[in-house]
Amino acid sequence: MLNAPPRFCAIVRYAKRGPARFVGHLDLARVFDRAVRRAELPVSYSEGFNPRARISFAAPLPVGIQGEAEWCAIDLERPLPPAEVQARLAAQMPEGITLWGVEVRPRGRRSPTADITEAEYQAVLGAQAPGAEALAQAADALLAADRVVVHRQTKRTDGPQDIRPGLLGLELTQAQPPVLLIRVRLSEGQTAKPDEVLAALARELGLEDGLPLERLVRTALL
Amino acid sequence: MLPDHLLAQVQKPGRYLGSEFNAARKDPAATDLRMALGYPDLYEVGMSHVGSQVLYHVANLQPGVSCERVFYPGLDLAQFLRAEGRALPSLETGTPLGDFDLVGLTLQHELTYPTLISLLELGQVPVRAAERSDHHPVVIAGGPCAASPEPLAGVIDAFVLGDGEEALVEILDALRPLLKAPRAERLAALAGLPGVYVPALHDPATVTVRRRVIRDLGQAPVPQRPLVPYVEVVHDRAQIEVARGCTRGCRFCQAGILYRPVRQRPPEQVRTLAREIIANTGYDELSLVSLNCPDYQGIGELIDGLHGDLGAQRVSVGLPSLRIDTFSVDLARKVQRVRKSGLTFAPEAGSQRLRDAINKGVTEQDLLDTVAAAFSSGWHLIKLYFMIGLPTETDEDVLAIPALVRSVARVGREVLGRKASRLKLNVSVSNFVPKAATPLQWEGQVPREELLRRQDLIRDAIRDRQVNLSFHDVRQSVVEAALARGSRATGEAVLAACRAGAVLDAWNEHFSFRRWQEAFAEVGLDLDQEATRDFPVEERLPWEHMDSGVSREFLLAERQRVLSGELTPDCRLEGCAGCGLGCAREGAAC
Repeated sequence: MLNAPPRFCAIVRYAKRGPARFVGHLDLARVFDRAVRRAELPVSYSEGFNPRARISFAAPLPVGIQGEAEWCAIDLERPLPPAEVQARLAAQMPEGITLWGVEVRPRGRRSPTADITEAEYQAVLGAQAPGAEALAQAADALLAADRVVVHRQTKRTDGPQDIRPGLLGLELTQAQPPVLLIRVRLSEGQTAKPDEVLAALARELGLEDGLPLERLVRTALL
Repeated sequence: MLPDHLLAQVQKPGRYLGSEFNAARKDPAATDLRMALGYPDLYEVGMSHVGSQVLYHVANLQPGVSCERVFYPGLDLAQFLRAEGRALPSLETGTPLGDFDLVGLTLQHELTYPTLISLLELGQVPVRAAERSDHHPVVIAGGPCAASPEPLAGVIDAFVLGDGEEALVEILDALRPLLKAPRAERLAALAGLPGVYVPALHDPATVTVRRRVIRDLGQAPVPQRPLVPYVEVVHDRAQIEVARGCTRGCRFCQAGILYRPVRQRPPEQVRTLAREIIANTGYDELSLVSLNCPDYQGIGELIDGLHGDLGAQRVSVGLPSLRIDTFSVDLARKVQRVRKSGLTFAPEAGSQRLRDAINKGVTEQDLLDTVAAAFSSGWHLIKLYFMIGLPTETDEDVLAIPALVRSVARVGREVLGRKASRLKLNVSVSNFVPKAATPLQWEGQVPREELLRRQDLIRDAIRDRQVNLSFHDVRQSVVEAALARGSRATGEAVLAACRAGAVLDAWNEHFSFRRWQEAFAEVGLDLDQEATRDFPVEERLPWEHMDSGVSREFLLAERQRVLSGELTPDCRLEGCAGCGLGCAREGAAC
């Protein structure tokens, strides 16, 4: 029984806005860990010398990007009314993390976050952006290409990267101000990042300084 | 709070958000005095400092006062701010530093001086006190280095010597009615407060500034809702100051003088605070803070009580400071049920003669018994702290350090038996820096080359793969010594070093010895001479207007006992040693 998986979990849906956009993923995990402690939720803890609350996050949100459809799964030792979880947790959240829904459900062995494979972003461009027609054409050109190579610099890699396999959709959904909907794959090694997609689009349009970006929001995890 | 375009460009933007859980949010309409509390180092260091959180809390408790934080930013942000001509903003509301009425800075150690000056400069506050006008903030500073304030006398408007809790409230009360008054009037009001030194108005040759001492730690305000940082800070845990002061009387130790007498927070209060702070922060670790935790009367019961209160919440309790005795190992066993980290002991000197000279008062047998107890309780890693360059030290004393390390290693291998291969000793050797207000304040530092030679003596005498030897940078210690007993002329050298780019000097990667040598030379001083000079006992010292309450006679007598090797017992155990504080006469709990 010692390592029996927890039987319930709370799916907590939240937005990450304003200055909280700049809280990094690991720091956000600590924010939630401390918040569930303060909220005194009956959370399930990991075994071992350094027990940690069992909280799993859906795909990490890149620092600086607003998230409207973020969620995490908090393992519980016993079920609680979702409204109670939401009220207790919401009171412990720092500015900019807004909870908008909690669901409590039985938990299987498989992590609830394991099934997420895609993310959708909305990029709102500034007034100086190229016209709607040019943007739509460039978007189509990227989707029609076999390879879209960008420069990727992370802790692990620094070099050319083909993001075409990770790019699932790119569409102009509004003309004024221009709004682009970007859909990417999240699987390891095959992902495309929204800023890389925008950089590739800017290159397609011949813009040396990139596209004027007003706001970038993750709108869905699928 | 920074503008988005800067947050998007900097490393670790989580440092600059100002919206951490429990950050103060005072209604600007309801406050008339705005204070910025600054720590002259990076956020991760400053946010680990308990004293700053206490003062932040004290200031924000006052009606009509709001207190916000500033730290020295990462070098990337400092560069962006300069490039944009933007003043360093406060974390909570993004207000430029220069717009505050009062700037409070902490003086924890000498190598932060250039950072302190750069912090003001980045905040667009004139660095020289004399160049500030009516609309600029009043700049105050406190902390252990206020015991030798002259190097910063041209920068700081008012120094506070001693405990800050009450003094800060008095300063705020004094300034609030004078916010529209000329600067000179505000400084005059501060100059009238006990424990406050105003270089523009006081003559260091005649004034005496008596250290502030709060009588009862249990009555002093403590934040029940400390800030919870987003980014991982150096001490990322709840911290409760359980006692202030230490009367063991090590003769090199400045804190041992500046925080006298010992005052304990009552154990019931510690337990209540611990429950509140854990509930209000969500931390899973609690550290009991004092100069000397095992000396807390009733420490064992306190730890048991805390375990009872917090164990179910999976909160671990830690003690940062241990004595060299088996009692300390028993305490460590209580708090560390998992031997995840090592135990640290500070014999300071290798030979019995020198340990007696500095009044450390432990024997080799004490240390060997202690480490034997630690090894047999399951620890494999022991950290040992030594200091070289102490007055009267000979090569024999220096070589006693590796000899003692070998004895500890031998005991470790014996006790660990089959597990001897897991033994690890981390030996850290620092350099003696003479500090103001101590019995060794008159002594010059041992010259740089000589310190290096003594380091080599130790290095050559330890040949053990299970001993990890590290030395404190001699060059940093030399600068520390030159600043620790400096004058106003030394202050000009600090300003020159700043002009040459000195900042964050406590971080090895930012420290440049040559820059310091050149800065001292620029103002006609020699850095090495400043560090090594002896001060004649007949003369008034450049910091002697700052009165710790411990008498010159006591310090001189202690200095004599360094030569004779005579021990001075702890006054809490064997009666008043006559240090001059007079707490026995006053009947204080000492």
